[in-house]
Amino acid sequence: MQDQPKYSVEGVIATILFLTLIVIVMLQILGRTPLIQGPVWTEEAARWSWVWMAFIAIGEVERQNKHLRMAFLAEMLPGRLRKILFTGIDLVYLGIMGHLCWIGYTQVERTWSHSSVTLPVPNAALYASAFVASFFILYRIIRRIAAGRSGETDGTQVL
Amino acid sequence: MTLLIVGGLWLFLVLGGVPIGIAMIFVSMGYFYYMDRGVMFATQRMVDGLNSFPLLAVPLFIFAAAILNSAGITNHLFAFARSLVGHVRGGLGHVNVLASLFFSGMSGSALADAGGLGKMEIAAMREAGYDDEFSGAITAASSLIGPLVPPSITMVLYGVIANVSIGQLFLGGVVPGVLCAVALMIMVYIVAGRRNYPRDPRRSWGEVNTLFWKSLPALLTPMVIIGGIFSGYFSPTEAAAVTVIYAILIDLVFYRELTFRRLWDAAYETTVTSASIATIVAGVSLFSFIFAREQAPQQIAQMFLAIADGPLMFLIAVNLMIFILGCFIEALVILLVIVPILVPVAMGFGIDPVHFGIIVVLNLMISIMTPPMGMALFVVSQVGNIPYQKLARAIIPWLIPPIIVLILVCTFPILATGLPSLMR
Repeated sequence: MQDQPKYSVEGVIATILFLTLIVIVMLQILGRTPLIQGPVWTEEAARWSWVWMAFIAIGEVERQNKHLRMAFLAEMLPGRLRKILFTGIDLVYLGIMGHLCWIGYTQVERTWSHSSVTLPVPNAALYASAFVASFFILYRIIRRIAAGRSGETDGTQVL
Repeated sequence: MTLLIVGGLWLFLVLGGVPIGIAMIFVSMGYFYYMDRGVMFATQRMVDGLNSFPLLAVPLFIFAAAILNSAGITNHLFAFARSLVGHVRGGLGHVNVLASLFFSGMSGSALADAGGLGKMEIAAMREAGYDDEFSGAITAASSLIGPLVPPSITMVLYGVIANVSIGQLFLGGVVPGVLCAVALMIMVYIVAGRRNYPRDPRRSWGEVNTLFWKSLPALLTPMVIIGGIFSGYFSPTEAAAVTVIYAILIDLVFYRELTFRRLWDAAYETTVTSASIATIVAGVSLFSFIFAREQAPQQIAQMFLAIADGPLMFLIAVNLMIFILGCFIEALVILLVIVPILVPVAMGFGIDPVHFGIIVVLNLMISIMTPPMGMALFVVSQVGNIPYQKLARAIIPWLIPPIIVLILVCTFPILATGLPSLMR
């Protein structure tokens, strides 16, 4: 994946959300000192930033094809068969993501009238994260299928 | 029966190449379609699964470790460890373990240790005449200390899924982490004696002192975390944010190697890694609905009650299960999918959830170095340019020290619960 640009729109948005999250958590800590009067919305805002960051960044994970996977059986298949298998997986993924996008939209509609506990916005603003992120994910899956890159991965290693 | 089909189908998809978290979403959606129930709440469950304040500690600790790695602090830690124990028989083997112990106080990830420190350690050992098998195996084995000594991403995730105090878990891991380091160093001493490995000349106190002061700001990181949590000033998530700010500050003041571009790249990479974990957490949120509906915890509890008549037997059974599964399944998956079902059963047997957590984390860390699916082995093989088969054979004797520590922790709960109980 060397010929891809280093950054993407969704990656940049997610990173900005992540840095915002750090600022919010620091504000929460400083808000307990005599220095400043701590706002009450920090914990909820931090959680919401994390949820938005996580969902939006899934698009970037798709772009880099970096989901955690253990494809050692699939890796044993001959090249062409493996390509067909991974393209098939991506097509199923595309279908399910399309449905999840619709479900995400109905979720936003359902929660539009529910207010957040501390933030001056409806809960729909939280659930919209999955709906908005699904567009990035769908876009990345379609591009991957079109470019014939299904299954190319470095895999993320965490623990 | 439904549970077996769900689990089997998921495993089939994972082995077939579907990403782990996505396979959970596939299977869950299939279950919802088939049962004609729950489909319209799928995204709500995924969002709610992530909407947790303690979970925020995961990206924050990943970011803190990435900053410290970018700032080249690992070089200072390695040099300090070398000045302390490089002259002992098997010198660089001990340095490898001690540097991992130091690094574990800043990073909560074994793979960050294997990848970050590993490259430098293996290069130094190769240059000094150590063979690749020994260098690779001790690098992989010492990386398991990372998630035992605070901070620990694995413990944060366990704390979230088991609803256990993350601060207590952090403290609970200290003694087993140090015991693992000691056990590995004893093993290094024995092996180095047989193979007559070289050692460094003893450093003067002046040199040690200089290197100590250079490493001190980084070495103080766990004090900031533990001190903040147990003074009641920070929650673990807040402690993670403070660690990020602390890492940036110590670089600005002492090391001066971090640029804005490096900081941005570390944040960018953190979001990608965190989203990869978040996908699995979101998938687990869907899975847990199926588990609850199919009464999985009750079924698993009955299964264990049939084979175990007391807490020790239960722990032996669980450890064997995690060890065997760990040879084939990624540790993160075992932690997020299987452990939540086991926690209530363990509590039913009267096992302290902190004790159980430390056992699980230690066993999971052993699993990342057990072939064929040992993630630490993959990382070390990659960064050290050592053939995987060679490393997979060489690691086997190095499983003995952590397994002995695991047996000790299972038998003597105080090793895990002693420190946390002092702070209660």
